This record gives sequence, structure tokens and C-alpha cells, in this order.
Amino acid sequence: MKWKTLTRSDSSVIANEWNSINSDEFLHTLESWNNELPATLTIDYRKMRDGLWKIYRTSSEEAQEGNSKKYLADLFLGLKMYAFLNDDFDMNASTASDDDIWRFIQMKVVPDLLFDRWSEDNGSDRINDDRFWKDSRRMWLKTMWWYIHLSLQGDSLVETKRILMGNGSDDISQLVERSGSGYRVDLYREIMRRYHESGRKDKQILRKVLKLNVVRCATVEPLLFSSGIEDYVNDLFEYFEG
Amino acid sequence: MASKQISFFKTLEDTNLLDKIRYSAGQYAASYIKGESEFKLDVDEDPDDAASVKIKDKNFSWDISVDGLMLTRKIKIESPSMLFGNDGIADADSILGLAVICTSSVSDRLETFNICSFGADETSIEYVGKVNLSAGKYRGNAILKTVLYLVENRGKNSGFPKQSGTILGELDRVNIILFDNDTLFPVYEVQSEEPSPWWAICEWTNIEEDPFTSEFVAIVINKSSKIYPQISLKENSSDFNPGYLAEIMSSAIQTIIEKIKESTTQWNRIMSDVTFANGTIAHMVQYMRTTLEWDFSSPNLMAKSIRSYVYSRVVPQ
Repeated sequence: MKWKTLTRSDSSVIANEWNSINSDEFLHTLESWNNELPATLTIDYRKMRDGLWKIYRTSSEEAQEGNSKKYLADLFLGLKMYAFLNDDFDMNASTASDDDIWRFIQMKVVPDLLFDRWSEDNGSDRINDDRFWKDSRRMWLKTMWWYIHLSLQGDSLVETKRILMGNGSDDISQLVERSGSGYRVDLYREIMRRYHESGRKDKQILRKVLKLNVVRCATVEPLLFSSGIEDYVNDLFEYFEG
Repeated sequence: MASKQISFFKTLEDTNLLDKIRYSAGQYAASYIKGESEFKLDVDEDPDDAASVKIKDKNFSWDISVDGLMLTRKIKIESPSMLFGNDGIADADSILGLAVICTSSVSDRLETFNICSFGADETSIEYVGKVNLSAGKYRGNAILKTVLYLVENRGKNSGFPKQSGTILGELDRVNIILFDNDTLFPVYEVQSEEPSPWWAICEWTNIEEDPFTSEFVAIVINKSSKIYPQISLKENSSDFNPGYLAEIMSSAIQTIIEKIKESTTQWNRIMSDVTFANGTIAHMVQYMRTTLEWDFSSPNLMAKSIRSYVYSRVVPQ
């Protein structure tokens, strides 16, 4: 797979144009995304576009109506997209850390999918800049890939789904937006496992644990904890569980 | 600006122990494993930054996202006992450890690599520290910090840290530049219905301006090809045949150079001593001629010199 990229500045120009054109022109843009955009893509990216749309639709359908419908739809999309991009396009942590690769996917391959998901609550703008291209930790598809990657239980997406089913949308940002100078991947996976095990009686416990972890990491390296990551994480939770 | 963490105990930075313990470390050696063979990589010091090194592969085969990277170096502490006791930074009954903390913010990753652990009774310690950056996890650059940390404190002196994993000081740090546009020959894989197992990308508009990157020049391997398992860069297939890959790389490089030769004016400039902008296609081809000493004087000599070079580096000797 040859990954194509789109820079932050080029994304800004494109988003500004989408925001500034009049309603008729934007309607035309929406139609062109559906009718003309696929023909501009390489075979690989056409396949990716078709796959991501299929995943998006089926994930929305599978999510039950209720308070957590949006979270569940995002979760199902994340799980399926993680397998799809990794298996069919060889995506890995190295490529998934490149914002320009995600900007190309989100702005050039499936902009209509992003618009469909994030068209509400954008104030006067049509485009949710943070979710489309601007904020490295909030670009939507990138965020969902990393949410699954940082929660992965062994190699099992089934087990990963099981431990993530009871979470909410806020948990995604709590986890993904605390990268510091780099994710301690195994540590985060254990935190997410233990969070599930905690039963989430305290709705704020993930946020508290992640904040405490940041404080402790200033003097202690969790990955060098002699009794292992599991004990380190247990200590974090027990601090609040009493 | 570097930040200083306020600590409730002494760390190496609060003392002059770094000199007293006589810590020394060699330069990192770099290599990667493909199949059952280990391939050495060059580690070049950055003339502008003593704490930075560039990893280079002159045979154009190494790609960290596919091959990973193994870094090793000797580390020595001649007087480790000075770290312990009242004049040190750890209780006399402590066990200390040496580790490398690898941080790559561009790769969104932090991981650690243990080197050794030791107590106050060690007279001198010497180890080979190993850092194994797995395939598919790193890109760009990484900072390797060699640190002292507390493994265990069995003592009762409350002035010393008790918490396992506490970082007691940084011995040194090296910035490793993992990707170098100057030397990496762009190779990537696609799924295509084309019957050809490989082809060359020659998409430049001006070889004196366009960079030597996969957007303009590359070898493309077709994953749908029947011989893909024998030439795959990514699969550790038992069918992998380095000879096939070497021949493909040689043919592709030759194709690209033949294409460049179509522009007589620019080719004559490459054959002269004109200086090109660093990283451009012209600069890279001139490097092949002058530094790698490929013979471009005739098609048969070019084919031979390219193959001599590529085969010697891709096929285990």
C-alpha cells in the first residue's frame, strides 16, 4: 500500500473553501463526493472508501437505540475499521501515527462520511475542523483506530469489544488525548482491562486514574515497575477504590 | 527549555556522581534481521549535533516499518558502589537497574528496554545494552535515554526512594534519526490486477528539484503476483528468495536510470561535477556514480555494476 498524505496547511485551505462556498455550491460538493470523487481515487483508496462506508453503515445499524447509541456506533466502527485497515492495507502503529495519512483519508477519500458523522453542532461552520483535520488527538477515524489499539486485549477484537461495551464517548477522549511524549501501549491496555473490571461504579474513575498516572510518571516509570504493569495499574485503581 | 522535576529524594542530577561512578558508553551499532540473516546498518554522527546519529542503509533495502531496528552498545560503570549509601542516591540494601527509555513522539510511542540490575557489592559492571525497535511501530526519530532506576529497596533508611520503578537519574541520551531521505530507496507494495510482479515509478517533472521519494521514484512490488511470496518485503516467508528481490531491485534501478538518461542535458550534468540540491533525484543518481562507483558508461557495464552492488547487499554471502 502506498499511503498518500495531505498536509495540515493544505487541509486548512480545503476546509476553508468548504466552509465559505454558498449553500448551492456546497450541495454540489456533496453530490460530487458521492458521484465523482471515487473516480479520482486509486484502486486501493476506492476499495478503502467502499469498505469504510460499509463499516459506517453497518455499525450505525448495529448500535441499539438509547443513550449510548453514538458511542456504540463509534465503537463498532472502530473495531471493524481497525481490522479492515490493518488486514487489507497493512496499517500499523507507525502509519497510524502519521496525521497526514489520516488527513488524506478523511479529506480526500471519505469526506462525506466525516460530514455525515460530524455535521451537527459545528456552530457557523459546516466542517468540524478538529474532527476532520486540525486536532491530532481528535481527528475522528485516527482517534477511533488508536482507541482500539490502546485497548486491545491480546490479539482478540472480540475480547476488546467485550471490555469496551460499557464505556462512553468521554472515555475515548480521556484515553486517546493523554499521549504525553508517547503512548505506553501495554500500560494503557491494562488500564482499560482494569477499568472494565472495576464495573465503572465511579463514572469518573478512568479520568482520575489517567490523571494520577500522569503525576506518578513524573518520577516513576511504570514499565520498570518490578512487580509488573498489572500491579502498577491495580495500585492506581485502589487509590480511588479504597 | 528543559523542565526540572521537583523530587523528594536525591537523583543523579543533584550530585556529582555521574563523574565519580565513571560511566561510559560506546556508540550504538545498528542492524536488522531479514529471514535468518542479520544486516548491518551505518550509524553516522550528526556533525551539527553530538547527541544525534542517523541510521543509514547504503544498499537501499532497510525500511524500519517493515524490518524494525536492533541497536546495541556497550555500557560500563566502573564504580557502581558509589551510588549506594549515605553519599549515594540509593539505600545500601537497594537493587538498582539500568534501562533505556525509548520515546518517539512522532510515532506516539514510549517503551523501555532493561539492560541489567545490580547491588552495592558490584565492583564494576559492563553490559551490552540492546534496544529492539519492532517493525511497524516507529518512524521519524526516537530519543534513547539511558537511566538508572530503583528495582527494589529492602533497606529501612527513609531518606531514599522506596517505590520500584523510580527514576534516579539519566546517564545520557541519544537522538536516533530513523529515516533518511538520502539513502532509502523507495520500495512499496500494492495489490494490483496487473500481471507484472513489479514495476518502476518515474513520476518526476524535474530531477534537479523533485526529491528522491516514493511520490516521484519508486520500485513497486505487486502483492497479487504469483511470485510475491518469493519477493515479499513484509512476509517472513520461507519461500523468500533474496536473489529474486536483488534482481528486481537491480532491474528497477537500471530502468529508472535509463529513464533519467532520456534527458541528455540533465544526464550530462549528473556525469559532471555539478552540485545538486541535497535529497533530489539528480543528487542521488550522482551519489550512485561517485560514491557507490556505479559505471554508467555503457548499458552492459551499468547492469553489471548495479548488480554487483545490490546482490552483495541483498543476498547473504
